[in-house]
Amino acid sequence: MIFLQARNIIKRLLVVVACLSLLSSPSVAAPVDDASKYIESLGDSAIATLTDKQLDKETKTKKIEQLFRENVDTVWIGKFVLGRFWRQINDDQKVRYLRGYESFLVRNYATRFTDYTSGSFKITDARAGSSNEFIISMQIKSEEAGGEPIIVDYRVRSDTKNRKNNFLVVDIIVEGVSMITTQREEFTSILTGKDIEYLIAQIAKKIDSAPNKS
Amino acid sequence: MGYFKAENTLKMFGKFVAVAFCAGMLSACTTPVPSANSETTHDPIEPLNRGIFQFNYAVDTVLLKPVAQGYDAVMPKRGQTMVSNFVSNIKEPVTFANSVLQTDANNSFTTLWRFLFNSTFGIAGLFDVASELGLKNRETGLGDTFAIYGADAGPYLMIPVFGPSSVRDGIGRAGDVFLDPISYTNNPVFYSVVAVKTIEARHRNMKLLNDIYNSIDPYSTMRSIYTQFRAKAIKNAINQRNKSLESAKSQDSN
Repeated sequence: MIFLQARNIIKRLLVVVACLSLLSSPSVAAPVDDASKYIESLGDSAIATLTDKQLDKETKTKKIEQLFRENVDTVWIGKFVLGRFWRQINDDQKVRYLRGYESFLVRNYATRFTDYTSGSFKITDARAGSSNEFIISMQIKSEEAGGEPIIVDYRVRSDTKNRKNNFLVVDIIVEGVSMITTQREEFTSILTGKDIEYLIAQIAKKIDSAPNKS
Repeated sequence: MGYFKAENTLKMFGKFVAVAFCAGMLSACTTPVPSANSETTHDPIEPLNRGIFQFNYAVDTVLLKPVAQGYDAVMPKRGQTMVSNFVSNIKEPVTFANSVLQTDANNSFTTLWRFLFNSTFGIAGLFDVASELGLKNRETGLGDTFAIYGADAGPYLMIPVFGPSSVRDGIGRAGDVFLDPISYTNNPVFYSVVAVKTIEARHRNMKLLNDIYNSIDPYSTMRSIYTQFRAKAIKNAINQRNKSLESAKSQDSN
């Protein structure tokens, strides 16, 4: 009798624990549709800026750079591309590196888009990735790109901390070539032979020589 | 007799180097093998590869880039499209042979029809009438064929003039030369085709190569891009071939 009662109590406890764990887990952080809409609206904003004939190239560049800063998780990317070397540098170097890296990334990637003055895009696929990540595939057509459609995958992550949108882009993959994988391979290769001060100096040099400095 | 043999061997070698030169520039930007988790590509002879990269960069700076820039300035956009179409058409026999080797019936027939339509109605391939008819180009080579049958990429290789490659793809490109009917034509035709292919490829990849050469470490950037692009291309080739096999199977069962 006592044994049966104890078994019932344990059963109920397990049910309560299971319910509590379901409630407390983040469940589906954000639906795929929301992530897809987010990328679509980001694409609309970019196209609207690039095709605006009243804006000169410098203004376009500034607007695209701002869009890039607001929507790309440059801090996370900065840490990721340093790989194992991130843990080997001191706090001062981390601050200086991240400060330079953000400008470097924005100049190098955002300004590439400003060459495009026409184009259209459509979302071709949206799927959930690992944990709170989503992969949104986009097909872009542009005269400047030769007329053939280009497939670009955006890896986005839900982020509700002090952001006006709930997502941030963590990688841009053009025809299978990942921006962060390429950068990580490059930085790993540099840091295998040189130290972080060399990399910080090279990043500063690239920012200085980049077109459209703002 | 021995002299003629030697001459033929030299001619074949010359053709191989010339085709490799062109294909290498093309594949520098279009063809690769990274794993998402690894930080770098397998590159056991990196110091040697870096030296060859510097040599290729010098050749590009003094010869290929200026010629491609001149071509861009002189040739109108419509003409550039026609040249691209011509180059695509001339590669179709190699794609056809490899599609057959891959037992990819869909791409074999598509490529055969593309070549017939574009070479005739498309005036020696200058117009891509086949695409208008829904026959889309899907280029493939022996590197893809080897990968489909399970060959790994092997170490990364930077080949003089030829550009970035891997052991598997390097052997594949050499083999493709022998599958290409142009390799068996007379010298003026062969070298003219090679020259057109090279300029067209360098011109098409102008922006990408500018980005690579402007990076902090162009060598590792090119290696990473090549490797990732090649991995994606192999994945696509395997998927397309599986689709083709499935459709052939379902037609058999009907």
